[in-house]
Amino acid sequence: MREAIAIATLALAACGAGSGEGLDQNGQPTGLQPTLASIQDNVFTVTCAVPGCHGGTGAQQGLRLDPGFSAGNLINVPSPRDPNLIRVVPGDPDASFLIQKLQGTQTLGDRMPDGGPYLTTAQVNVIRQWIQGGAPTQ
Amino acid sequence: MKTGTVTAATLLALVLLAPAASIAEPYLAVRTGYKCMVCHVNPTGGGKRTEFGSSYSQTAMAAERLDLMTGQTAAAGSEPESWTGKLNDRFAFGADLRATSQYVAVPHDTDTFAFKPSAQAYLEVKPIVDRLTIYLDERVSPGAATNRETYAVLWFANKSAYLKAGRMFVPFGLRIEDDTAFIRQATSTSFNSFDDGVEGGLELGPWSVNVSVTNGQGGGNEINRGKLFSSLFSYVQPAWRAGLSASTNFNGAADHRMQSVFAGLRTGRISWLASGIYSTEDGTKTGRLKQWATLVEGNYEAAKGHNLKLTYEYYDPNADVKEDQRERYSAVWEYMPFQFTQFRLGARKSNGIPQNNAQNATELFLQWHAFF
Repeated sequence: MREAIAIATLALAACGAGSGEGLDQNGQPTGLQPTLASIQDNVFTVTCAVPGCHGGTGAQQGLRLDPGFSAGNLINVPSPRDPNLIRVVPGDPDASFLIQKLQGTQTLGDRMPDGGPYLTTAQVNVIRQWIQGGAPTQ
Repeated sequence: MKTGTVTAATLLALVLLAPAASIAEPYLAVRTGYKCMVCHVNPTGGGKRTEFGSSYSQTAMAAERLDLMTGQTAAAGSEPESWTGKLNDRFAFGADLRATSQYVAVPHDTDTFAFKPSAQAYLEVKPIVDRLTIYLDERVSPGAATNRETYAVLWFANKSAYLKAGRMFVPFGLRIEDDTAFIRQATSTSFNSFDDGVEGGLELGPWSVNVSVTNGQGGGNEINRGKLFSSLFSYVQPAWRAGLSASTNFNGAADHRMQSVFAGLRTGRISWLASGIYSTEDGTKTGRLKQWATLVEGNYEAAKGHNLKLTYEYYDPNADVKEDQRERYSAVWEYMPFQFTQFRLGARKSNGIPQNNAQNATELFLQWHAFF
């Protein structure tokens, strides 16, 4: 009986290999890179710049994140609700309100994306890398 | 020829000629109910066998016993002598040779077939019998000789505690023989990974506690003040055991922490092993890297001298990345026809992400393991 339980445990332990979807040959995500263009394509456009949120002319808090608008609305731009909170402080991801909102460590408003699902730590880390590197727009 | 000359010549021959690789098989400990230190000089397992461990392998593990002087099968009822590499109460040698032929098939790539010998030689010197031991573990093949362990270990009078200093394998988790296992690779705790420092241990009844402080540079030059702290706690009963391990290696730029739980259980002829490891490493280019690795293994003693080992392994190289997990299935038949000789025939199938061919390899191997 104990052996049967152990064998069943062994069978259940088989979790399966990953499908590799969205990964490169080394198992790293292919999409998101620490560049504004990549973050735009893989995060802002698909997750944030949707109608009723941060897309279009009526974007929440004036933060329009459609292609071509993100840099001008993020980098060194204060939040209209608290001018002390700068959305992106080049070189300082911890001081950037954007990172705080994505990590859920913000002191104002809700964590983004509103209601989730939230970005993974790996995705947030890539955005942190971009900011740490000076938040270049090219 | 003087005794000293004979000893030196014997040691030289061992170092130069002995082909080997360390054997450490926790399933044997589960099968017997012994602690690692019962059969190995190193209290945490691996490397040279003790006199008892060597005798046990000759009398209890081999399918049949040969008369060591004639090479003939020992007569029924007779008790042929054992040979343990012990020269006298103060000097003992040991060696492991693994001559492996390995076939590897990688999808969309060229198949390979290779012979891969490996060898270790061991020297154990006891200036004070049962109290002070100086131990040397040298990898002599493949490639240039590499010192894996050189330490002095001082035992308290009742063998309930010890202090070790020198180069050593850091105590962490299950020290299984297969260096390619995920739980060994992911933690850098294989037999290719040693470090310089000190270790202390308590052996109190069924309890074992081993803690170490080492440079954390894998035997390389120290370049900072950070140290690797590692610990191993285990509780051993005749039919089962369980343990915990934890380590932290802070080297200024990165803090690498690992935790492990492991257990063993004997059910009739099957000895089970299970281990799970979780590690975090700060300071990587994507921030904190979190990894999981697990192993479940069953060892079926089909008959004396025969062991069938089935293993399943799982590895998540980055817990924040989806669909990157790997797994591996292994089936190994181990046959020990007589003393000092073991043959291993095995197959391993790895499954990983389809765009990485090497992660989906199939391996077949035949190994001759000669040891004493």
